[in-house]
Amino acid sequence: MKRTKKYLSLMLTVLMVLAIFVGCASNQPQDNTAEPTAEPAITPEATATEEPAPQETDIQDADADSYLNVLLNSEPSSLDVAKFLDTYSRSVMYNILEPLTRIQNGVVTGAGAETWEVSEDGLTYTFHLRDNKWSDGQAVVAGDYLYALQRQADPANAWPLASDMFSIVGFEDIFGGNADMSTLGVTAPDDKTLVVTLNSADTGFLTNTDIFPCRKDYVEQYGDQYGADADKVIGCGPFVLKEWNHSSSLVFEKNDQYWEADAVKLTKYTSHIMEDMNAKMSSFENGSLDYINVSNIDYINKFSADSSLNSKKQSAARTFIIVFNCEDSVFSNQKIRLAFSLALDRETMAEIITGGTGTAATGLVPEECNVGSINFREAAGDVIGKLQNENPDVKALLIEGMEEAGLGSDPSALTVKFAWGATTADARTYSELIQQMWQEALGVNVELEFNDSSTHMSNINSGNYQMASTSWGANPEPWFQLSRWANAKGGQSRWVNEEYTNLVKQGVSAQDETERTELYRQAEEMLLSEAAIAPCYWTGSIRFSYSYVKNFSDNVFDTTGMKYLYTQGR
Amino acid sequence: MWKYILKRLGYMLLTLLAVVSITFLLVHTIPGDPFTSMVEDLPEETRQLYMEKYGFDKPLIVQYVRYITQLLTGDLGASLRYPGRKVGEIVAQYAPVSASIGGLALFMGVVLGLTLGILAALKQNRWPDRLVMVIALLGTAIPTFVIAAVLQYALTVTWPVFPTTGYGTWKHLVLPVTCMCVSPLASYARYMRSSVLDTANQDYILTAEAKGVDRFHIVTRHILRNAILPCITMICVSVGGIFSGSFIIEKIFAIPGLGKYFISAINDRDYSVVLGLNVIFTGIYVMAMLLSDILLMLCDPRLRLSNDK
Amino acid sequence: MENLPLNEQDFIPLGASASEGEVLAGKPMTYWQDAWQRFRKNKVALFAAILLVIIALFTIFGPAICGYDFTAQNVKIRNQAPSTEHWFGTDSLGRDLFARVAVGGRVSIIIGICGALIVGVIGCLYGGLAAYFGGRVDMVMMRIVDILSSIPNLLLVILLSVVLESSSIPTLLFAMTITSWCGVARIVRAQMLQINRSEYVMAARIMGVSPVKIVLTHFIPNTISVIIVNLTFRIPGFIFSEAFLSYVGLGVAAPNTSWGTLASAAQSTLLFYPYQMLFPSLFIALTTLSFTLMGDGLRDALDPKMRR
Repeated sequence: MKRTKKYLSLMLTVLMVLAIFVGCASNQPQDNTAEPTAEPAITPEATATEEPAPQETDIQDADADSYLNVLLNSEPSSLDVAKFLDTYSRSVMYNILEPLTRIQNGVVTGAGAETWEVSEDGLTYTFHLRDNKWSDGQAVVAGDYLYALQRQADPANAWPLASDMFSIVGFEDIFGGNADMSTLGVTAPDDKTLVVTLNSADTGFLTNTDIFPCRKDYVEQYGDQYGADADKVIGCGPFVLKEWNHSSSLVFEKNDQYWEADAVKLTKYTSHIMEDMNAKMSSFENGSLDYINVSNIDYINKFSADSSLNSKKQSAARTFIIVFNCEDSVFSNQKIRLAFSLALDRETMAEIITGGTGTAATGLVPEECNVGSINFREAAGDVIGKLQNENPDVKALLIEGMEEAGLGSDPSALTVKFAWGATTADARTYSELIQQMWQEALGVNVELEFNDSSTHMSNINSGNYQMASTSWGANPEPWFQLSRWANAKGGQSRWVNEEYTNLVKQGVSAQDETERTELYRQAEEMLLSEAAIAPCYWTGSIRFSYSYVKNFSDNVFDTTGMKYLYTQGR
Repeated sequence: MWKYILKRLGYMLLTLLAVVSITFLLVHTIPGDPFTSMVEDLPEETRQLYMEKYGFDKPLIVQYVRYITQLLTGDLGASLRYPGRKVGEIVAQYAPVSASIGGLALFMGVVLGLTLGILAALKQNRWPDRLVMVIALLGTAIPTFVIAAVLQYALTVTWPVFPTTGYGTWKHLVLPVTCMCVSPLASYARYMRSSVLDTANQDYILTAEAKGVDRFHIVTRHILRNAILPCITMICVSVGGIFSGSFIIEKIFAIPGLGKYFISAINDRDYSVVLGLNVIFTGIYVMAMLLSDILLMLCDPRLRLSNDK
Repeated sequence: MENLPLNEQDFIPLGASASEGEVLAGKPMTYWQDAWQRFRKNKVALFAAILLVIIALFTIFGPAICGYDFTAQNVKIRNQAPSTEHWFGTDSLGRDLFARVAVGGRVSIIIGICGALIVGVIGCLYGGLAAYFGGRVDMVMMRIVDILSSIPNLLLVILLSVVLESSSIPTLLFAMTITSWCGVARIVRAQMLQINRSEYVMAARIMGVSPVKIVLTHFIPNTISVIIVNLTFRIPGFIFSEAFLSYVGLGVAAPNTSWGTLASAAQSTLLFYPYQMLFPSLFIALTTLSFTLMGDGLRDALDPKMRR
């Protein structure tokens, strides 16, 4: 009996597996039930009909004792700025620490820094800090931000997300152990000023990077344990972490020392850690959670029928992608890759896999991404649609490619493998859907391969696959996604293309918005016509909330956390 | 007897060593590493640095010797996925949760299961027997996740009697314990029934009956005492497993227990947590097995002789 | 006591000679013949066997009866409740569930039976030999069982999925049974330790009967009831665990399916489409029921203690 139970348990490794990893390939649509305001990649999208209501900061009508119960999909790894590695930790850190800047209503706004200047060449950022206090009353100084960056660069900490900071002068060398800490391009001339120097102009610097402060005395006091418990971390953000019941819940209270404490109306909130979808939905249904993001069509229908609930369609700004291994004997051929990409019925995928909350992808970069003030998707158009028009007969395209690659001209003799890393029952169903699409449109044989997600990731990263499912989150600037295929090994597709790499590099340093958009547009078109990847759909969800929850941040990229939420008439 | 126990304790250390070695080999052989699963598209240099920091770049045998040495000093290591948490602390924090739920569920399962099994056997082929067998069949054939999902919805949403998820008060325990005891209940009922029937047909029972010993005495003194023997091994196996928790139940009811933690540690390739937790689990399991053999010997006079050699 | 009317004729032999007496006594039956005869007479067991045959026939002819291909997707008719069109309804890709449940049974029944048999045979032999030899051999053999059952199953299965690189039924069975025989071995051994001391085993030993034969002819028949209960319990376990194995790449290769896979696919939408869970679960339960009943019949037939 014990064994039966054990097997059953393992069988249900299911939903959680991927949810645990940072942005790691989330092939799992129900994962979108994420805490909406807390993750950089997961927040609302403006639907076509309604303008996003910008978050209010001056609120009069909030309940005297506003409190909320919210969902957190997984246990945060650590709250140490130089150790954390997942979105769950980051979402907590936005609420207990004050980054230099936050993204609010889609725009980079001063937070820890009141103002900042960028030098003409785009290389030097000078931040002027606000008067802010740590929760114990001590002033936040530029040295705290400097100390955090130094710890992040310190090879002894081996911070897994260090590459996010590689655009800062000296960071990469110090992290690699090849340079001294003194070469770091960050200085604090006085308590109120922080100067950061970049290797090359990086227009996405402030949208792609979060610079948090860190208290030296606390780190020295707790050493390795710093950031592992509620009492072993100190904050300077809108909230203070009061309790951390590991794998169960986190309790936050308002921080009275916070510089904008007047704008924070929420006196307390609790993040409940849950992984099972039915449990999350039931918790919302009986009021144990105050709002929730849903991407399961049945629950959407159920909650939509309840008129007392508010709902809002949101994008997750994440692209579900099928990557092709360009070093594989079959998929090294561009025509074969393109045929497999175009054979996908993206509308059906979006409808079935995302329960209608996602959108069929017309390109890699989701609709929410902007280049400065230009909406990228509008400028770049429907790349996939264009390719489909150019190649109406995908089977002929495949045969052409097969002949080029010396694989004969009979698609039914071709057998390829499609790998999935999601260990869920749904993943199996969805992969069968895609399998069928390819087999019908191309007449090839597609075998499905399932692995646990670590094995899957390891296989993809080492090029041990033919076709594989993965997904990539976006940042406000298209650069973040595009740059994944612009590295030395050609990304997970192992598609090394110098021209592409140059386009992306030029793009990120181009100061002019129109020029940057054009460079990114060319890059994306190249990536998709060369078919190193097949973007399928952009994931999304619908946020349902009880009517008393007010003032959600409705931009998908916002990093304001729980700061402006409140309840009214609870 | 004492000599036997000492000998078993000696073997226990060997068993532990073997399990640690095999598990060590397994975790390091399966594809993936803690860092690949942590971060999307981790740059190779960062990965290298990480591997160096934790010594995973060294030959496996060096790492093995280092791990065993560390283990001998009583240090189970620290988590890679959750920096700053020691395996010992994780066990201290999560094990009581799993054990309280698992222990209660097992207790209820055993008590109810044995009672139903005895009842069924004594009323063989009459309606109580049939009813118990139907319950047992349903208990094995309906997966725990179905029972849990249905109970959770019915008793926390439709009739909100209990909290949906979490751990803390006795109310949090009711649903998970109920779901978890179904399967042991079913199996103990089945085992006990067939065991009682077995024993009831033994010669000594017939002798007792022939001698005119009253039915109550036959059942309590002779049948039950002998019938429970085969269940002892099974109960001990189950006791050995209560600390390792139940993944499904902990996930569905969002309970911070070791079952869920262990599975996610494997999925995260959190090497030292997998190894450390497994050392603890194995130790408890092996102790439970020792207990089962000792209990068997105490209960069965025939075995006392056989193990003296 | 009254005077009984005794008649002298009543005491005259009927005429059968000593040799005729032998004929009347019937053929001497071996243990197995006897068992088979008793099994045949057990109506419940017979019913269970017929039920199993019906299920087997359903898995063979089911898809032909309903006229749907079990892989044919139709996204327009997703998640439909049972109707005259689709007797068991449709799944989340609009595939006919009747056809899928029928096809799924093929793999599941084979896995359930073979899994239980393999585990049973290995477990009985291993546990039996450990009990027979006792002492040091027993100690070492049981410690090996301890070790095997303490290795995390998930780790082992992940490794196997990498090493084996295929998802054929023998591979599946191997992955499922590689450590699960340990439980049977442990229970069998505990039972057999008791029998080991009985007079007939001692007699057999002195007569020089080989250990394997003693295990087979004395140990197993005398512990058969516990073994059978244990094995019939494992059948649903094997059927469900196959679904888990498909997550690590060892299960039935898509688009083929199994009851376990169908049940786990229905799990997340259980509250909305309970019938998607009901039908595969029902068949798992029916199969388990028929094996349980047959197991009971088999137990009654095989257990020498039940012979009277």
